[in-house]
Amino acid sequence: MWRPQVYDLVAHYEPRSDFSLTHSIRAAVKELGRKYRGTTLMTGAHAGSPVIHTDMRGISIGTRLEISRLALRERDRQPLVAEVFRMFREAAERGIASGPIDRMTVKFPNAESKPDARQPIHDAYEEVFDSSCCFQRMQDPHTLRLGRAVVHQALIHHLREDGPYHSDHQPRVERVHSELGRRPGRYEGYQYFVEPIFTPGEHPEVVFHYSGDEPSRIIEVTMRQKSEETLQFMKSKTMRADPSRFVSLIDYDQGARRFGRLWVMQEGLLRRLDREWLPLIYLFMDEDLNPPLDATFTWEELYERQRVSPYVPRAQRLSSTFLDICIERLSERFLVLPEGGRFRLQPLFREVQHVTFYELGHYDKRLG
Amino acid sequence: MQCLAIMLLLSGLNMFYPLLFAEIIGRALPNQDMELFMSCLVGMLSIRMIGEGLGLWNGHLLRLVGGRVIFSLRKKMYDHVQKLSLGFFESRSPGEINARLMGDTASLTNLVTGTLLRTIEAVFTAIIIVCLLFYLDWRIALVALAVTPLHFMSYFMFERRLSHESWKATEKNSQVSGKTHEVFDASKVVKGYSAERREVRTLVGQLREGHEIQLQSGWLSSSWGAFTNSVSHIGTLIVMVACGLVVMWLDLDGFTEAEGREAIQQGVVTFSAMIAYVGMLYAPISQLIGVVGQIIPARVGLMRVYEILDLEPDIVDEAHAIRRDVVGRVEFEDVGFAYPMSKQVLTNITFTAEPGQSIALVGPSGAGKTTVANLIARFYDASEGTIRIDGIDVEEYAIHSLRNQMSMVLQETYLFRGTVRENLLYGKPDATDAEVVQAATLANAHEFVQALPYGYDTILGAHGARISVGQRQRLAIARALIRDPRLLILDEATSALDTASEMKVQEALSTLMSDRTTFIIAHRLSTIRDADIILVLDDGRIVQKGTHEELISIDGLFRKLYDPLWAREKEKQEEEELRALAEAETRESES
Ligand SMILES: Nc1ncnc2c1ncn2[C@@H]1O[C@H](COP(=O)(O)OP(=O)(O)OP(=O)(O)O)[C@@H](O)[C@H]1O
Ligand SMILES: [Mg+2]
Repeated sequence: MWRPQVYDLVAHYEPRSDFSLTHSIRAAVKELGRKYRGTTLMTGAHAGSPVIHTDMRGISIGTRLEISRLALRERDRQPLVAEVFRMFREAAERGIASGPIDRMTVKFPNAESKPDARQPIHDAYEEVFDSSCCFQRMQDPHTLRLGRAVVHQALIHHLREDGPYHSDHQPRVERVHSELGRRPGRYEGYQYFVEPIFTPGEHPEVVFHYSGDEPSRIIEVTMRQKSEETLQFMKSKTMRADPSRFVSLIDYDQGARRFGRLWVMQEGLLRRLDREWLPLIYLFMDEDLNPPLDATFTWEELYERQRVSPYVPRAQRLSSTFLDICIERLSERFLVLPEGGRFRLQPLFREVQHVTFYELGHYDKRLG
Repeated sequence: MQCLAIMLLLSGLNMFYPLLFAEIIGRALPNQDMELFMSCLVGMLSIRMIGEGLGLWNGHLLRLVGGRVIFSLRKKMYDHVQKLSLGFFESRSPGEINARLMGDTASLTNLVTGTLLRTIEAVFTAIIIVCLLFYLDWRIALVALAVTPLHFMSYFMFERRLSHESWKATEKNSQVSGKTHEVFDASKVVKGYSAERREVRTLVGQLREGHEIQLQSGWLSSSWGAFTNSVSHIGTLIVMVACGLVVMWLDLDGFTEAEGREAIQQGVVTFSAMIAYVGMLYAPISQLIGVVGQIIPARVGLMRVYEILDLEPDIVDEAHAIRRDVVGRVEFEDVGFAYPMSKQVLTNITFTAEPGQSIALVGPSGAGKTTVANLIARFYDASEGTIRIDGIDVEEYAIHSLRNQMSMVLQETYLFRGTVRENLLYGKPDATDAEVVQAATLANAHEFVQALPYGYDTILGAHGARISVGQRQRLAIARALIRDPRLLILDEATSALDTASEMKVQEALSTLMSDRTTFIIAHRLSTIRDADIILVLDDGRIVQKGTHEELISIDGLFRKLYDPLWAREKEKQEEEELRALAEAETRESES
């Protein structure tokens, strides 16, 4: 079917302090352009062949490659984008760019609200890089950043704190984590994990594991003395056999935090929330924190609820601007939907995931 | 509004010009009518002259309006940026903020001075002309309109690329300005590492790229212009052909020769007017396109300006914020804090400082001492728990009322470019000379200031260059003392002083500290020995609390920090214990 679609794709590469855009690099980009030429009929933001730019990022210099692609038919989309991804990768491999790919963005009109135009990019990514991918909404609704997410649990569990991630354990995890950093020599050669143990309706527990070839008494003793936490040994093989049981320390820490930024994922698209806006969601819930998804409220009703809600900071309970700001911000993120003067929670609210977003290059780095 | 009226008047006037011209060609000349010829010429001249006059006046009005808009936008932005919290300034370089404040707002000038009005004018003119064309001859009007879609097609071809180029150009500018700012700021480091060449090379590389982007965007916008103009030329030509054909094929059967001549003449008049109008129709369309070319950079600028204006200050006064004098009782209750985007820095901090007490915060580097001070000054709001001053939550105070009653000497001393006196007066602009000298004396600074070439009127460089670090610290203390604050926070305020000078400052401070609450952060034992309470911080927690005598005699972090021999002993001992324990356990499990 003929459905023209233009994609503006950009890859940012990790910066390097001694990078400079020499003639040979320019020539290499030209050559790359000949190899991966594609048409845009002047419709994209970039040209049909790659253009290289540098960005000063702190002391170092990072490069970025820009290219646009016009897919005339729907089935051309994925191969065309995959081709571009291959080119991005080739640029990193051949040392044309300043380093490995750090992040990628894709831009097309109303990207945020066009899942079917997003899908080919997603598929192309998985095809070329052989790993999962998600989109992060940038400031404007036309640009998406490609990244990877660690999915913790449904947002609703995070709000009610009745899932496997509990803030009671967050300081413990952090204590173990910082002890690991304090005596790196002692703890090296092993990997450290958390196993959340959880049955719905009960308080979650965590068990700390370390895995390697042989158990180490001194590691166990030191950790117990220094952080008052017990590490249990597990053979690497056992660990690898059932990876979904275990969570890295950093991921548990992120998932159990009740401060800082909050990422949510809806339909493969990530959006950032500020915790200050969350009180609004609680206003939609009943006493047991169940969201009646089909209930709608007028502004006045929400305001009435805000005045007595324990989830709203005391100082803001009487503030109508506070309510307005929360409504505006959460509607922009499709968590609250205005419906003819009334407001409701998004019908798929239970499926909204609490996640942590990582740039492509940072996903693996998070484990150190 | 006035501008709009003038513009419409102008374009209305211009409408008559082709009509008069057609009269000359079509009637005055063929009929050798001198009177008509002269009056048409006079008419044309007056249209042009009146037009110029109106244009002049209009230009002035536009500049006036534009200037005002830019001014108020800059003012708004500057106001806003000052309100933003420290996090904002930490995440952006000063040069970049400056580029947005000055450069991006300037790019909006074009938009307000005229672009908008000119668009309205162009649309208005185009509509009138289209009506006139249809009135004169509908067939030719259709021909003339047939090429306009081509004009609009070019919009889709060029707009996205051009707007991206202008974004790149602005971005590059702001990067370059951020970088230069930083490099000049750190000139000593750059020279110290003899990195001047490297910095120049980087910057030149960036400038070259900026230049290439400019070239590219210039090339795109002129191609767009050329494309539009070519379409217009072709359109005019087609219209001429059409007009010519209509006249050529004029059906003259049944007319006398005189009548025929008359009819042809009439045709010529109409068509010369039409050709002139068609030219005038394409002009506003080209102009509209040109306007888009101007709007694009302005839009990029506007977006960047609003990116900042849309940021909400993290710390704002509540509606009924309290303004009152404080006595100086400071309470922390279960305070937890995380910097935006980073991990928990403080956990469960609880303590009370009575008015007049001096509280020392000690602990290893990175323990969170400065962070505690930041929270007292409300540079950030605590994420958990409450901080009270005189029993009232700090978040309920008006920020300015609170900060006016405290002084901070920061770990990194900052002095402004200006005289010594001006820098001291920053703490209290209406202080008298006597107060200045008194504060300087207390801070043990008077002596060295007098020895400077111009005494209190010596000009310091930015960041207090030209005096030593210890001297800077003493000036910073004087600046803090001059406001006579209720709360005094000294973050490593005397770290760069020699012991003798520190003693002097210490003595002076101790008399001052007697009736105000003082927080002292220091690594040096001598600085904190006399504090009423010493809080020992480790990894964001208070691990010990007490006076010097109490703490130095018991095992713990404090003793570890200030009794290094003992600390080394202790560490060795601990390691042995761990090993022994591990061995014991191994044996146990084996048996
Ligand atoms: N603006 C900031 N943004 C993010 N993290 C910060 C910021 N400032 C400090 N930190 C982190 O907070 C922790 C505590 O820093 P803080 O400046 O309070 O330490 P400190 O006790 O004053 O150390 P020092 O004795 O070296 O001055 C450190 O781990 C630091 O990395
Ligand atoms: Mg500090």
